[in-house]
Amino acid sequence: MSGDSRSQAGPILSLRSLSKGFGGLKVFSDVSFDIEAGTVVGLIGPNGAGKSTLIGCVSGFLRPDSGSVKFEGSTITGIAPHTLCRAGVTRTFQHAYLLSHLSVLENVLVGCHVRARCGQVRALWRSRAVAAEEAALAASAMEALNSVGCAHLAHQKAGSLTAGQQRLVSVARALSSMPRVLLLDEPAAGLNESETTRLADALRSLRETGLTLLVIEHDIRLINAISDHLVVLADGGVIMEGEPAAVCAEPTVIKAYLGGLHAQ
Amino acid sequence: MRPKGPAPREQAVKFDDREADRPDVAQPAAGLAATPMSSLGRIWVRVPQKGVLAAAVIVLLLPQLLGDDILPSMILAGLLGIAAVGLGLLAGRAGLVSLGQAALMAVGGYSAAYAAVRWDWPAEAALLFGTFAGLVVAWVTSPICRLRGFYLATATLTLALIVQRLLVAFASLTGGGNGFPGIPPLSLFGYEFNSEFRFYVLVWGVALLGVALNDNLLRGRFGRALDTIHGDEATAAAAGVNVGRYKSAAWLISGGYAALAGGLYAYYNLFLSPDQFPLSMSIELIAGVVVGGAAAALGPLVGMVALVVIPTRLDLGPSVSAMIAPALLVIFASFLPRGIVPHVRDLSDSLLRRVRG
Repeated sequence: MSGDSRSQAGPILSLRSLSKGFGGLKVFSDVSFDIEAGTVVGLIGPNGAGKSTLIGCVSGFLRPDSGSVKFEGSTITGIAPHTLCRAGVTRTFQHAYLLSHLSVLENVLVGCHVRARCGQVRALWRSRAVAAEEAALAASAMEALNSVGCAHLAHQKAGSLTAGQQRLVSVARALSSMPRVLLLDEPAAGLNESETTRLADALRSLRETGLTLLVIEHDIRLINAISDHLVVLADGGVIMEGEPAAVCAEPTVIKAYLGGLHAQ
Repeated sequence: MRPKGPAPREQAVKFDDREADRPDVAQPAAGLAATPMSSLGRIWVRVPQKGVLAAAVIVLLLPQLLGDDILPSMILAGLLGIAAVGLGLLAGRAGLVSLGQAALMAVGGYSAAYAAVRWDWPAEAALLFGTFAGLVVAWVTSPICRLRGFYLATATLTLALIVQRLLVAFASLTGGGNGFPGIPPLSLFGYEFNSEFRFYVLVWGVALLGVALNDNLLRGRFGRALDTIHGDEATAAAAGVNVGRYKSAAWLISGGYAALAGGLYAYYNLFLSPDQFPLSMSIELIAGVVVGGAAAALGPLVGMVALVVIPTRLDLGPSVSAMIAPALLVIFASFLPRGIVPHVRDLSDSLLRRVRG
């Protein structure tokens, strides 16, 4: 886990011939690509191409039928999601799933779970160490909220937020586990124009801090604005990857992604 | 509302130290390290939250106000209340509805009684043994926590039936249908609990201590983890919560509370029989949790008082009394699902706000 062992030693995440199907339905097969540390990789493709399934396979929620995922050189296929979160790989979902009766800050604190060090037994009598740790975690949860521009909402009930705000808070919750790789499943779905801009700013500044991001997104403008690299998943495999501008100009991509209509 | 950490709202702080080892929670300064004395002081200051203190005062005043006839039903309410506090954690926070808590009470009661009578263990050891036995049974049965909703309810219900059958079947250990007599009167550390009032204070002391410990535990990351599991298990897993382990932990804790309640019950009754732990007792426990307020710390105790003491005071007779718990369960679940305590708290909050202008 030390800084030097992973410095420029290769991609932080590498997918090798991943295949996944549900029953008779093959979702994708032989998917391979690398993600360099500190980059933002956009994963695009038409509906049903298997983007969310792919993220599920990488984050431990789904077990791929074959192939492997390596995180910093070690294989993580088949490792449980909560263990992966501890190791530094976590994800968000298409639904924000906030606890509506709790405050926004408490919801973000859920993400701090893996960073708490005090034993649970000491919590029984609220030892000072536990209280100090809770305060430190709350401060760090505020930072995470601040980084998505939602610090002013911290003490509101999560249920009172707009869908877009809830989405941003769920990103903050994922951030507060201090991941090194964050997989975002359509983070901009349901966000309005200004929230999308805020999200793009937040993702860019997270990239500056060295976080590696894999983002599924349908908003092509957003994905172009934040990505260093694009991977296009369609027809059960990766049909193209490369620089965002080049990928978006490719006729096969336009055809697969936007349908035949715009290809002419 | 709960975490009152420093709130640097306006500060534009970015994540730094990402290069350092990842989980770098600020360590509390060395000066805060707990010494035994100060930690005792903290137990005193922190554990009894206002509600628990208020409840303790009410518990002590109640026999003076209403007379000693209230003691037997209050003791029963407190005994069931201890089990209900554990069930509040399991059902109210983790969302795992168990209909088998009476089985764990029976395990705790019979184990404590067995140790006290057959092995001549002192009460302190026998009660610990009973609780331990409950924890072991909970541990062995913890795989059923993987079930959800209806299936979990059915599995725990089955557990209750199985334990009742086993109590009858293993007559050489349990006395079978004839019951288990001869439990000595309770004496802890040389103090005899030989009057109803003493037993009443003991039971309610344990119950309120249980509430305080439960509440402390649930205020931090344990409670947040259970809440998230209740809401969405995938979100909890993505946040690093070991869902299976936390559900098992909740099941074990609730089993420990139930078994301790069962042990105290054995020492209160001095005689045990399988029909003292009927299915209706499990239903009564879940009804108490729902009626009092599943997510409120004091809810289960308030609920048990409402279910046990009020029918006795109103002298409704056994057949009507038996209908009170299920009826209130249905009424509260349908119309006041949050339970008595949260509604009373809301009411008093709004009254206070009005008084203060």
